[in-house]
Amino acid sequence: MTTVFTITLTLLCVAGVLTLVRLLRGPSTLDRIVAVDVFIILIVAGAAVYVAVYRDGANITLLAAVALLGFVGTATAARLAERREGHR
Amino acid sequence: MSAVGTVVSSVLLLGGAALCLLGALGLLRFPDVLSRLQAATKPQTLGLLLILLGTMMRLDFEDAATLMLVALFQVITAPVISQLVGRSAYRAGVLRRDVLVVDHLGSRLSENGTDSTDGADGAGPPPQR
Amino acid sequence: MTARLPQLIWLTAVWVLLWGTISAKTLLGGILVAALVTAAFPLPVIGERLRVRPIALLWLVGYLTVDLVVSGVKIIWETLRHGPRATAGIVAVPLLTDSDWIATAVSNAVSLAPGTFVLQLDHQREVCYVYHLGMRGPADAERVRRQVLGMQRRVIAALGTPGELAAVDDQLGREPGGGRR
Repeated sequence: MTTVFTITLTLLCVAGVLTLVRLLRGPSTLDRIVAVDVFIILIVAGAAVYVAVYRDGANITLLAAVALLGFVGTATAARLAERREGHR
Repeated sequence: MSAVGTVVSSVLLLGGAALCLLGALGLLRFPDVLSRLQAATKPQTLGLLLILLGTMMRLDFEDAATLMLVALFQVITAPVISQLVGRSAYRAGVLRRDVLVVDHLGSRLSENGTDSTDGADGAGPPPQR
Repeated sequence: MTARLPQLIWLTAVWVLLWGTISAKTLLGGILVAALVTAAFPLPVIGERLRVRPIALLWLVGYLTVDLVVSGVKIIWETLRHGPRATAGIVAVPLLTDSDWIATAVSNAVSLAPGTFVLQLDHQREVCYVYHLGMRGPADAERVRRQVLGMQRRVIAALGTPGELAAVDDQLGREPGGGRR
């Protein structure tokens, strides 16, 4: 299981780096919002892998909270970005 | 947990992570916001679902129920995110016209000119910042 | 208050699932939180009934599960095969329902389908504008159109009224080749 843990987390970390590149490059605000949304999904996935490997359910509520807040954050940010573009 | 169960759950975890990675690659490689949005929602959702499934297999029922909720939530919200961000992108005109081979919405907007979704048909350069 | 009962029930269910235990404490706490949320953020009550057909609904859920998997694989294929040179299109598809519930369900279902999501719903003209990644030319528009119409047929079969379903079949029968799916 340790091997699985190492490989899985490595894959997720590489995915995180690629997502960060998009976050830095943009070019638009909406690109960055999408990148942040993906990054949150990756964090939730990483936390789930930890829970699976160590069979430690203590983080599950935290994981659920991050997943819920991630959606609210992305939705709000998208609306704000639209409003800002609309004022140009 | 049985040996078979461990193997299946490992495969789900690895497969899910691989999908997440390929989704992130799509986020990097695709040409504009709308196509990147597809990479951000489809493979990412599937990848997260596989990882959650693999995790649920290794937990008792109570913890698995909460993860089930997270999985369900992801499936419900991914379409909402793509619609919200997609519509914002179209209205703000951030998408690249040369990527679209057909655009019925754009042709409809240019037909009647005065539409409430103003700005969408002004296909100006993407905002720089 | 009875109109808000479904909202109370599912909010309580979410709360209980979040805690992961069914006990008097989580159940009562859930009802309390649900009541507070419902009172503080009242959602508009849509006064229309859905006609749920369980078997058609199961088919729809099964279809969406398959779609979800195909979606993931298809987008990855696009990433690897075309990447920066990927092309897409926005296609107008007639919206076959007046119901807000069903229109929402349709746009969510379509947004799970491979490469597709609903960009805009135009209730007045009864058109939805669907974005599809992976279109190579204008000829693909017909394929997307048929795919979305088929999905609407499935959602209406699961949730629509008999009259609506008959109207949809009638319209699909008149579509060139649309009745096949």
